[in-house]
Amino acid sequence: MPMPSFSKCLPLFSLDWDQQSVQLAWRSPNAETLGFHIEAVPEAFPTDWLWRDDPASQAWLRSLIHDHVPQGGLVMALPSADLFHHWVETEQSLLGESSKDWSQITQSAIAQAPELSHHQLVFDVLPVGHWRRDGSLPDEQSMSRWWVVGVPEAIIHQHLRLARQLDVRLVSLNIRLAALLEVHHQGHWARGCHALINRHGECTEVAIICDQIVEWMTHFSTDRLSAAEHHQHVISELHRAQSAWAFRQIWLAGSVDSDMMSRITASFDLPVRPLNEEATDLDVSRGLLASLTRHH
Amino acid sequence: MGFNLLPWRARRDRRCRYRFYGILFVLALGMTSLQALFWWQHQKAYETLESVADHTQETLRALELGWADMQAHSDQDIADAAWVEAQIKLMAASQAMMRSPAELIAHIVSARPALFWIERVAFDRPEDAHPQGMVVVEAKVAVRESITELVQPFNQGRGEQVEVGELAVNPSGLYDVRLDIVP
Repeated sequence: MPMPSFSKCLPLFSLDWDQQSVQLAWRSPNAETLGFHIEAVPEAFPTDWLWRDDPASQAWLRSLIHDHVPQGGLVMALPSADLFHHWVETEQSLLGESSKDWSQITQSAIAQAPELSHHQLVFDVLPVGHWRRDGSLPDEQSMSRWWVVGVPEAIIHQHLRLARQLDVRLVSLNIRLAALLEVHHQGHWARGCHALINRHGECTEVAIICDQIVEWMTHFSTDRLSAAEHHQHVISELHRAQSAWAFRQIWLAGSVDSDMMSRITASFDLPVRPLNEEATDLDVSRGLLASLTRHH
Repeated sequence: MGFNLLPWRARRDRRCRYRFYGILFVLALGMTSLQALFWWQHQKAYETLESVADHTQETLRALELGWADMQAHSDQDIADAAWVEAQIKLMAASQAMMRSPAELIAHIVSARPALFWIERVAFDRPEDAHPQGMVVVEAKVAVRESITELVQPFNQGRGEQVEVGELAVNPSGLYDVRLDIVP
């Protein structure tokens, strides 16, 4: 019998943002509908206003939360630019439930990817078949291949400090790609291999998902790239992945512009579609809440 | 459940927390059950003790009553038995006497009715002096010489002997006297 998530009992809200707006979404424990509020960021705020210890911007966000969102725990997605990803194959199928399993997987990741040991990272691991929702038990392949994500401790403390300044309690720090998978796990990439391009702020992610398993992902900063360089970099990453996984479709998420869409379409003889065609894209906000309120 | 990179909420910790709350719940349930069981047993024990106490009190009361009753009966029985024994022995002794103590007593009482009060008549068997037994008469007399005069006829030429014990003056001015009538 699946164990209900502990957070199922807690009222939660998610906070997401981009350069132009702040997205707040909430789902009370018994409400099936998603409440949300989107507010444009004042133009006077600097680009990285969220992480500056600026009393004015913090007061603005605090009043925004307290005016629109029911009381609850805060869920956020960590920025991809700060994350380290690695995939670990274990000799035997581990359940990953014990700290011994967890430690073994993490140590294997550090041994295989030396860059992981160069930082003071906080890790979490999930089996690669975690997002398979066909009701079946995880197979041997899922439990012997693990997705390891590491984030510097400083980033964790940055988010905790922000939560304190906003007078809310931070209950979960997920990652953006996992939140997207949480929302779209049943629909788009059920069979075969798919490529996903997700742009958020100054960071672009490229991921390969085969049979609902994240096989690979990379991300890069677009901070110093021109639009053309950015497009070219994405296309080169897709070509590299295509040779390994032969994906059949390309999905676009986040703030990917139409120019990039046309460039990619021109480069690959494959269907290229936006992941969310609605006017208001709340996928990440919805996924952040779903990851804690869904039964597993 | 996706990633959660808060250190204390990492996946392993969530599992541990589930276990922690599970164990806590089981412990709480266990403690409540134990407390309920203890309370129930305590109640049972208390009821049992109460019942035992009641029973004990009843028993003690019954014993007390029974004892008193038994003691009363026993005393009476003992007294009765002693009295009967004394009477039988007195009769046996009297038959052995040439004159029965009753005749002596009747004589004394008839001769000096205002001066002689019989308090007690008993049969005694002192082992050393008179192992065959004797009749003891305890009485009060107003004039001490009168006793000697009264018993003197009985002591002359007869087989039995009436011994007059020491006379003690009691606060009422009378004399306590003991007559040992020895066959």
